[in-house]
Amino acid sequence: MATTPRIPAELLDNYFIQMERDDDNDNPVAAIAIPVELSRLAAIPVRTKKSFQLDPVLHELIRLYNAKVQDCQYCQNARHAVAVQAGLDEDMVSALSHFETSSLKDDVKAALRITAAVSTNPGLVSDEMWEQALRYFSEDELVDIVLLSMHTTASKVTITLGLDPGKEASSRLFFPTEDVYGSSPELAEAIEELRSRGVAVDGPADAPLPVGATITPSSGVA
Amino acid sequence: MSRVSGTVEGPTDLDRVWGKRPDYYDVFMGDYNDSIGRVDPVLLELCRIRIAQLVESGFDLSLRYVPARTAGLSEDKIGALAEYPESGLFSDRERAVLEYAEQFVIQSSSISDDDVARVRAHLTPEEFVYVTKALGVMDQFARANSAFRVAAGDTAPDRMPAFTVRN
Repeated sequence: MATTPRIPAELLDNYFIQMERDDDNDNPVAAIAIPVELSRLAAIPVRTKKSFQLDPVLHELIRLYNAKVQDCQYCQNARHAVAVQAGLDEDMVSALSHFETSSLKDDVKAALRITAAVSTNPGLVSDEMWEQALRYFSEDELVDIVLLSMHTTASKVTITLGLDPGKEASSRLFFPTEDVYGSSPELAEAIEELRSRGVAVDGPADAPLPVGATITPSSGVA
Repeated sequence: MSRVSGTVEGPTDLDRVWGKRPDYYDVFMGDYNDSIGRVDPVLLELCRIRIAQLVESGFDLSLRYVPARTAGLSEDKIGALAEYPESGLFSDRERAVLEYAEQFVIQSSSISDDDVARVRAHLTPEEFVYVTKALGVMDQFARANSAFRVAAGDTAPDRMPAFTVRN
């Protein structure tokens, strides 16, 4: 169930969780919404030329880890279709709450340690943790891991204002061609590139979650 | 200098680290500056520095928000921030918002309706929305800077035009 808004209903007109930047919209809640451009640059829903450059499965695991820590019902129930096609499965998602002792791979654990520290106490990102992660990732990737871990705490604002749309609103696969992600030349290019590799980039808006099963991973989705 | 070694060219450590993702840096800082600009500057600055203390961001602690200084916020009061619940330097409104800010930083999902009612008694509905969003971007920014160990510098970054370095 969605949470109860903690702000007056009249402030919710034209509200959406993400917004294209628009000088004409002076609604207070729209003014504080997450700019959709920012999410695109964080590679949500897909990696583009201008965005963070992380493996789609790792990307989705970091997002879902924070969704759990922040208790964002909407975020926890969404799955990005490209990550699922690249091999994300529900066992991995279930393992997030005990990732350290789970069978997740060592590189994923090294990344999630950074995510966990960023979302709780970033002072705990130790030199040792950083060096260990450098065994698996380039420094540019570590920068993206920190920024994505930080980016996905944006749900704190939505939740605190009582505007989490709830899990029913997101119990499905999300495809990068959906309106919610807006349009940009980089996004369009990335979508075309995925399509040319046989990755499903659009699907029914009610595509159910692949609970307990994975979509056949397509080759070449790195 | 930060723990990120292969940085890009830039006048400050923030530019050198965040500049590795220049498009994200631009849009994030645009949203950051817009968001903080909607809040009472003294209230904003007290929360910003308290957040920097909690998430251990030396870079954020090194900066001062010029509009708050102009509005009369003193270094003595900033120095007393860690004792805000008992200090006579803070108004009821400031104490209520700082308490809310701390809850937001530590575990926002635990903020109850009663907690919200307590802070909203001191804010208009719109102020409550704007304060919450400003807490969001300040919390995010300080978390990343802390994780990167972004170093304090001699000047504030160009992307933070309303800030100066504490002297």
